[in-house]
Amino acid sequence: MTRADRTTLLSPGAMRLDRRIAPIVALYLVIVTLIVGYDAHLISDQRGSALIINVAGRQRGLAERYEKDVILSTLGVQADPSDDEEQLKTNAQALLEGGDVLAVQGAESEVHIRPASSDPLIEDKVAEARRLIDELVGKGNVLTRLGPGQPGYAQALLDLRIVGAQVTSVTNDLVGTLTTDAEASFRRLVSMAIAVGVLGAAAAIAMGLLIRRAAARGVSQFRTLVNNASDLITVVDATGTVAYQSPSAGRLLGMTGDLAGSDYLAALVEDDVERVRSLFADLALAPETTVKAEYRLRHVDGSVLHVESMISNLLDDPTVHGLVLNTRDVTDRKTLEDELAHQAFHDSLTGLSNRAVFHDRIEHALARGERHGSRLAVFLLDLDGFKTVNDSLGHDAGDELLIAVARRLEFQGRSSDTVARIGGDEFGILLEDDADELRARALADRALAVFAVPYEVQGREVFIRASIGIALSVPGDTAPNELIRNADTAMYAAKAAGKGRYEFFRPFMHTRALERFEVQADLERALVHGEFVVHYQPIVDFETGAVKSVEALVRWNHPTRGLLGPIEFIEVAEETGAIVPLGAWVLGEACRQAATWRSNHPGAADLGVSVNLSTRQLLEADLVTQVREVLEASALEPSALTLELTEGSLMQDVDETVTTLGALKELGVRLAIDDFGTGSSSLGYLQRFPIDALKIDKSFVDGIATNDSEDPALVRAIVQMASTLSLETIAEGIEGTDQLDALRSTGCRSGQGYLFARPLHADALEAFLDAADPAGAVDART
Amino acid sequence: MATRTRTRRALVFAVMPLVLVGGCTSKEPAGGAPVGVTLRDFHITTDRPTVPAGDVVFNVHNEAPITHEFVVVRTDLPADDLPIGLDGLSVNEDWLTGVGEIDEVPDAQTDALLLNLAPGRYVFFCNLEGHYLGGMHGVLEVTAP
Repeated sequence: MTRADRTTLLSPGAMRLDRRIAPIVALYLVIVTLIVGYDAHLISDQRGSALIINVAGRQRGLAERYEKDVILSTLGVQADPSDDEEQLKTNAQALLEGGDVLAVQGAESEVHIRPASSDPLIEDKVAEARRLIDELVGKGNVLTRLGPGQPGYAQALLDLRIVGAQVTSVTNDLVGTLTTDAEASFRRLVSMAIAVGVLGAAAAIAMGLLIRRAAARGVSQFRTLVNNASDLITVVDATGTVAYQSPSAGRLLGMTGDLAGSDYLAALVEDDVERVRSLFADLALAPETTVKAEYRLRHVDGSVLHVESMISNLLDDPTVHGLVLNTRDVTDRKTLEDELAHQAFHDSLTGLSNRAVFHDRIEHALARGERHGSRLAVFLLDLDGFKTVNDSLGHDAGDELLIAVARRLEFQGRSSDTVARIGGDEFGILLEDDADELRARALADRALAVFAVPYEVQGREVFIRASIGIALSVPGDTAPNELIRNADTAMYAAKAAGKGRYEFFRPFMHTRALERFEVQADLERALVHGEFVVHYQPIVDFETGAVKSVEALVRWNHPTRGLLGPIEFIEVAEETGAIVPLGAWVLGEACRQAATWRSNHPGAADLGVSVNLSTRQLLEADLVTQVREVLEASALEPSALTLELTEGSLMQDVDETVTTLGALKELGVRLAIDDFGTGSSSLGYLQRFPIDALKIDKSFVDGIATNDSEDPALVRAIVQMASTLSLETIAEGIEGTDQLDALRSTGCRSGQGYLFARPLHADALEAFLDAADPAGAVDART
Repeated sequence: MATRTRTRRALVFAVMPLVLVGGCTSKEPAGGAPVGVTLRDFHITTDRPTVPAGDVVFNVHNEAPITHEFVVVRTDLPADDLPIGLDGLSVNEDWLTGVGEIDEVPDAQTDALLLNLAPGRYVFFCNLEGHYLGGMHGVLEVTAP
């Protein structure tokens, strides 16, 4: 109430009244003046309350900003929480005992506030709020002293967020109570205005009008203060039609003009509309209830704000008649939360759940499964040959492939199944609810089918396969770790059994997994200590019986486990990269030995030698140089050396391989495809490679002598095709004379196998050559 | 908070049959073994660790200066190791078997909740953000009568 108001009141209308009723008017005026004085006091009280509510509400935002700044500063982002810390403490103290605070957040000017309340119940809330602010700052200081990665950082971060949330709930509670209190005193003011009206007389009515104006000003001052804070105040009806919208809509949403009558829901992001609409409808049925809702609003410039509204049903309140929304922008907090949550729960490359979430889901699924007696299945899927892609095409290509695999895998499970990236090129799938072997097989088949179609990575087609290990939970199982370990073991079993397949965990697999682990640790040592030896298996000409060539096969003379065949260690060597130095050593050793035999052994002057080349070696940039150097060092005639490659390794990167093989051919060496028929190479590709020979896989030879098999026809077809392409054919794994006869009848001209000789130590091979006739022939039938 | 709203609704439906068995609403608790519960910032205490199965009345008194809630679930998990939701600050009630709850117990007030409980282990807590993790939880064993 200003001096100007009072002047208006006293003139000119009042002065024109009949002098006879002057005493009455004077009496009225005295009463009215007293009432105005009281009202002025109430209005000022109301302003004080609004300021206090504003300061209390600001604490919430300050605490959140403080929390965010502390976390950011420990992450090395430029952020200074000390200003917020000081303001938080000043405000908390002023709310308790009165004092000077900043008038508006971010402003320089200070205002004085009285203690928030003399009501002991509210005083307790204010004291609790101050205690928690102190605790928050304490937690903040602890976290600031630690950096990420330091022991205790994660716990300190959690502690800070817990206390931060507690500050939010206590300040919300405090603001709510203070607002209710202020509303009650506002109602008293209105009642007083009505009482004045009852006193009758024109002066009183005029006074009433004046008081209503004063009250309206009080409300608008209240609004101004609230609007200076970041909150948006909206009053809507049950259908969302706006009755009042505070001007801060302009700043927050870019909306100007009178928004009364517009549809509040129209400002929402479409996905949130129905949820909030039904929330309004539900809330309208519950008088005097307040709910909290988070949703998104769209700024007129198109950007999206995350907001949080406290929505109160004041439909029955005659002064409001609506749902009151107290809305604030929580975009910053939301972004930080999402970021933290995402980092904690997702794999940053593929966006799939990470190992921690996978583990967590298994744990909960196990707990649920135990209650309902249902089982679950854990799948671990490891890409075969991923390392090769990474090494040959680069890490970007590897990442691109992982993302593509992740996208395809996501479509295989039901939405209730969890697909996660466990690390590296390993993925996990959790099949929940009544998993059994049949359903697990169906899912495994679908997951494998994902790899049937090649991936396009950086414009190239990449074929990749995966091995899957599956562990089914047994009722009573409670350890997620064990389930994952079992699936891991089964996955290695699937790799060992030929890759591109799945295996269920069986208890006996544990022993095998242990052995494998030992192999990996031993390999490096074995290379240094020269524990590897090369054995040679003769390749015999079917017509002459002569040993025309030998295949060099590596053996590991293991100090404790004895002589180990390649199946026990080659795969691990491939994965760890040890195959590259090992392969180079075998090549050198075999060439040296072959050259020695050719010059020293009668009848072995034309002896050839075959050496296996791994995928990794084929992709080595200096392979051609290596081979040339080995040939020079051993003085072996290049045409005596045959390099054997598998179909799979040829298909890794066809263009590159064609170039490499061409360069090898220029050196004069021969090239053969090993294990032919087991891979998935298309025959069309064969013409593109400068190949000299095909080695027919043992699996065809095994069935060749039986009548009920299609193998004889297959072998015949391979031999015929090879002959069309002028390729030599060599049969592998010949064990019986019936097989030899059958092979001869297909037109195959040479082969190797136990029927002739096992792989032999160099000395033993020499003896074998000696035992043969001077022309080097052996009688295969004795 | 939409998920929480949904969760709550699910809980209300889960509780309805229990309340009907009890024959009255939670606001008008009748007979039943009483359990005195005291809410403070930020812990919960009860006046008895076990109660016989059947109708149980929780007389929940809030001594804290602010409003709290009181949620009861049936679980064998440790009270301080319930599954946490993605906000990292409150319990994920979707993963638990809700038995009943009082949405709001205002400060300095007492409210009652009548539940018909089968024998088993029950955990109660306040699930406002930061409150459960701040220590507001406890266990009640319900024994065969």
